Amino acid sequence: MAYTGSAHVLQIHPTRLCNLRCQHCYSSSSPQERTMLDASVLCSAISDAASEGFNVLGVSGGEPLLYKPLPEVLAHARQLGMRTTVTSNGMLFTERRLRELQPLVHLIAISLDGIPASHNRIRGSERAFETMQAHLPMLRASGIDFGFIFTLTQHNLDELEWVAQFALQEGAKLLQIHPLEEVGYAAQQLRGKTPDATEGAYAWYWGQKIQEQVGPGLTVQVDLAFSDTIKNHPMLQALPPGTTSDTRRFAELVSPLVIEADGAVSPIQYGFAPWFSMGNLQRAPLSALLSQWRTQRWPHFQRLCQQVHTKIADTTEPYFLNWYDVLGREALGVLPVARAVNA
Amino acid sequence: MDHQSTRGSDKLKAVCTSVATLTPQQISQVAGGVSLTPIWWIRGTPHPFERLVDPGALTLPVDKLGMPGLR
Repeated sequence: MAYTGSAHVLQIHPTRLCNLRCQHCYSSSSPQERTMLDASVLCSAISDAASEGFNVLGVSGGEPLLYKPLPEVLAHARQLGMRTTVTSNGMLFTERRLRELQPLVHLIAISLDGIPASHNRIRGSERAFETMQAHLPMLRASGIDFGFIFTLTQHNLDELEWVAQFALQEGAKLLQIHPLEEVGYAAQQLRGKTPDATEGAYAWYWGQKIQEQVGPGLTVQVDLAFSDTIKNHPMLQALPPGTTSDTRRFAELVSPLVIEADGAVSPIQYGFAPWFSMGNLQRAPLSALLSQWRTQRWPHFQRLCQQVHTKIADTTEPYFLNWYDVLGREALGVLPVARAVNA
Repeated sequence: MDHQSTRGSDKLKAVCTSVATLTPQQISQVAGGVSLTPIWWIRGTPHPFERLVDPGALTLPVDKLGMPGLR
């Protein structure tokens, strides 16, 4: 499993349609993509997820603002008591759209990939930064809390302080630093650019120093796990001995749960190893998919988590790592073993 | 300096002496000396909620190695 504290996250990608085609996009979204999920399918899945204990809805994409039923989906989640976030490139805000979203969203996260020149290069648009920045006063005026997500590569840690100062000046509440993963377009266009352990260590340190510098008004979140923390908390990656998955709600077994724009449901992250997929919402409701997965795949998934935990715990030198990326890579290697077990 | 091929940390070290004096091993020592919040953050999903509950959870006594403050 992946431990996300008391927040059990359902991440949805309602569409892969986007006004940009970013080099690091893990969902390979673009203006040419038309894959989109029907709002009724999504709302039904959100209801099922809420009954399984998921209490946070994260909407990603594609560009969520291009998904017309977005307010309907968010309102449904809020009615079920879920907290909601939307990840956007920040270029398509309008006053009307923000008025719709204001009562429905706890936080909007805007992608910001470095200084303006870097941001525009990665986003393939000479006006991406300028347009996003021009919309920030409107976002502030809406009263919706917002933050920025900075994708860390092997080569851009030196731009983080600029990003933090920009976030502070613009009134952001959150700066999330997330390491690049070579999935989707990034696998083709940014191969070899994933930050290694050395960059991870400096990123973690620099994130803490920037947090000290900016103060509590802006939360700096570095999406890296520390190997010693994992080693010292074995309960985080497996159920306690003597308990079974039957007695737990699904959100306690797997978080995040991811719904992709074509209806595929995956554990942990977009594009997770297909053998661990829960199935597709176009074929069965989420409750049925999770029920089947619990009996057929959960034991293998738990074993996968234990294997990864053991590998990390066995390393002598502590280091920083992207838990999801490590788990995802390890999952790809599980396939032959899992097939053999099922045979 | 080729911006596209140089490590970000090397470029940072070139302008920030407090980082330049640190090794990854020293940083791990610092991290090992504090209680990190054991939460695995999520790709594409901002996740501020845990932190908002306990905003001091990640306040770090990074002076364990006598490190200087920001430049």
